[in-house]
Amino acid sequence: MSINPMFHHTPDRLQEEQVWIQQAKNRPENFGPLYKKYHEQIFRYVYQRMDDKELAFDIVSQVFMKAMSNIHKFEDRGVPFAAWLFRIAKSEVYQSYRDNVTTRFVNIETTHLTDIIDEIDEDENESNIKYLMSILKNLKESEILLLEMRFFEKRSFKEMGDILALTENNAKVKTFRALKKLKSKYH
Amino acid sequence: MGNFNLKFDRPKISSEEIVSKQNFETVLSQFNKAKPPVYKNPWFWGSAGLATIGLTTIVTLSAMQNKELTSNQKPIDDKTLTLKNTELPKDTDCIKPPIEGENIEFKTFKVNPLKDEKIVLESGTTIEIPKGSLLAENKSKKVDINIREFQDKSSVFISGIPMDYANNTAFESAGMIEIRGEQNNKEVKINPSKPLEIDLKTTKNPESFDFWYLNEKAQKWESFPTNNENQISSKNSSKTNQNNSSKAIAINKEKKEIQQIEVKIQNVHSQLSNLEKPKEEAFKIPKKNAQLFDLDFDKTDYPELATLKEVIFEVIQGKHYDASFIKKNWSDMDLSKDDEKYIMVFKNSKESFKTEVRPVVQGAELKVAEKKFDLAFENFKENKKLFEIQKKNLESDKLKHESNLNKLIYEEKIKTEKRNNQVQEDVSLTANREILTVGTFSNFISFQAPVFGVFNCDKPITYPKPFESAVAFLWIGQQIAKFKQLFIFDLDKNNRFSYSSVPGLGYQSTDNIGFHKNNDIVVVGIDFEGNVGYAEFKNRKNDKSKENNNLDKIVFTRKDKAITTLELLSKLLNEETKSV
Repeated sequence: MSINPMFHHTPDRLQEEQVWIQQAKNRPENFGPLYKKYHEQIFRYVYQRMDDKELAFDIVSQVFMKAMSNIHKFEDRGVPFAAWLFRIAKSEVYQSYRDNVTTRFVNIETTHLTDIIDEIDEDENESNIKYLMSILKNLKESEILLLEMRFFEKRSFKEMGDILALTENNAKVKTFRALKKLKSKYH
Repeated sequence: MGNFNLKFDRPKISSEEIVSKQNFETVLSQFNKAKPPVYKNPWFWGSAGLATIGLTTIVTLSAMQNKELTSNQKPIDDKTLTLKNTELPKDTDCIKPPIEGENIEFKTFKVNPLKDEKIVLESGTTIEIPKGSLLAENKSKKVDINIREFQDKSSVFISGIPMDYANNTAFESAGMIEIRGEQNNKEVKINPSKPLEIDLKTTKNPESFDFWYLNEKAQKWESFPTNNENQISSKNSSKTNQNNSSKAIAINKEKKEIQQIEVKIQNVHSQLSNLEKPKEEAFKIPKKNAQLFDLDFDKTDYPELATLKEVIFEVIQGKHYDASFIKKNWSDMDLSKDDEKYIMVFKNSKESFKTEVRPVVQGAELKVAEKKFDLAFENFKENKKLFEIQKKNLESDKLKHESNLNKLIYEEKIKTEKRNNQVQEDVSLTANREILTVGTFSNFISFQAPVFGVFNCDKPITYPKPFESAVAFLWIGQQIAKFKQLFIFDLDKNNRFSYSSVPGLGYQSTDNIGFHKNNDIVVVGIDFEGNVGYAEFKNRKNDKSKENNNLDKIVFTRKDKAITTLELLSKLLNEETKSV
């Protein structure tokens, strides 16, 4: 399965990011490059989980404000800065569900469903895809979240673990359990 | 079924559109507007706190200036010879009291660094300070020993001492002590070769707990050796210590093994209880002898049923079901849906009858459904069997380690008794030092402290499984509550789980809250303005509504401003505040 290159950095870019983080810790005005770098990723993360585009943009602003307020607490202890931002975004998205008494959305491109079909060793035919569309709703929120990150957002298990505060292996095991649950519904 | 909506193939949004919405200037100006006032800045309180402490120290020292230091072999009793520190303790990066303006005070004991001293706390805890143990700059002046002892959850909470441990666990405490040394407002260190001898009173048998030291620099708890593990005080010969340390390591190893197995058993147990037995209803299989109705209905009104070719409806014989309706003549039947439930209404010219029904399949679809159900059931049985075997093996493994541990402890007890007899005979060697009489089987834990800090007799407990969907937090009156920090006190497990909506506080996210179904729970929230709210879930042992792992909302009561959070918590947690 292909992995989204948007979420991965070269060592040079990571080093450059460290400098930006240090500068942003000294002065909030210096947060600009980090905002520019991560704005689209955070927006796509938020908008993937809701249906209101304008609200998603508002939440993204809120995420960056929180990040600016708390950047002095960020320390590179193995969790990348991006994952730290995604954790803030996750928290803000759930806060928005509570504030607006709305339900979570999972936006799916049907072309991505073939990856799941492929992963559970089923034939990639139309009826299997339709059946998958009908049974995804039977998953728990915690399970669809894993499949969403892995197959719809194309994240690596390492990154999923960083965002969800799990080990890479645990993210992998939980994802495979969700897939196993789906597979069991095919037979 | 998950509490979410699926949306397929929504129109994509281009990068250009997202970039066009970027506006860092606006975010920055909003950020600047939202900056906290100066008095909320930690630097303000840091400076103000230091200035106050400095002033108090000067006043205290002036008052003490003319008093002579006297040698005192009598234990310092906290009822008679204590000086109460009126200042709130200093915050450290690691210890941050969650409630502004509330903290647990230290008690200060003045000790002479040139004498053997012994402090006895009200709880029975004793701290022996050997001569030469305190590395004070001025040996002729007394050293302030500041102590807080914690034996309840309320005061630990107020103190802000972190109670989380690695791997999603929080401590269940059996007793904790914070001890600091200070002279002329400067930290005093302990000579590591002459550690303090502490017998800490515990609220539970320390045998089933571990012992920890809070590494404030690394902001984490680290395992710390105790004399209970060694069984022998360091006053014995070095040869004895060597033998003892290998035995202590073996005892410790067994204890760790048992603890790890217990965690594994707990995991298997929770997996077992989470195993869901497949229900025929979920596969749309009708029950035996069920009343089934075939009904023509508009499939566009029920798209979820559109894929089924041979759907019929089974009457759910619930609480209000009246079997006599079947004997009556009905001229019309109508299907409707009310909040995920299907309702069938039977009508005739005189009356109508309403009953809940569920769609089931028949014919070829029924055979497929039965096959799927059988497979799911086989799968369930298989998994259950595997977990049960796993549990049995772990339990037998635990028994084996427990038996090894008991054997080791017994051997050590015998050796200890022999050695203690030897030490008593050789009492002249111990000069004026007391011999610790606290044994393994009393509620004391004995340890040597080569450093000042926080020491804790504790056992890590796994965080509870989060609720399946997001929980709404409301104040009474339905106003939405936005909490910065949430704390779940589990009264049965005797510990506290901490959550935060702000990353970087080192807590779990408030999105992941959950608690154990049958336990008595108190939830305390602190919002961004520092307001405290609480909610109680008690006496729920027989509450069947909590069988699924879900909770849609928690309604919080605001703390009455007339009482302190400590008073409120002590009441909610049924505790008497026992800290020093």
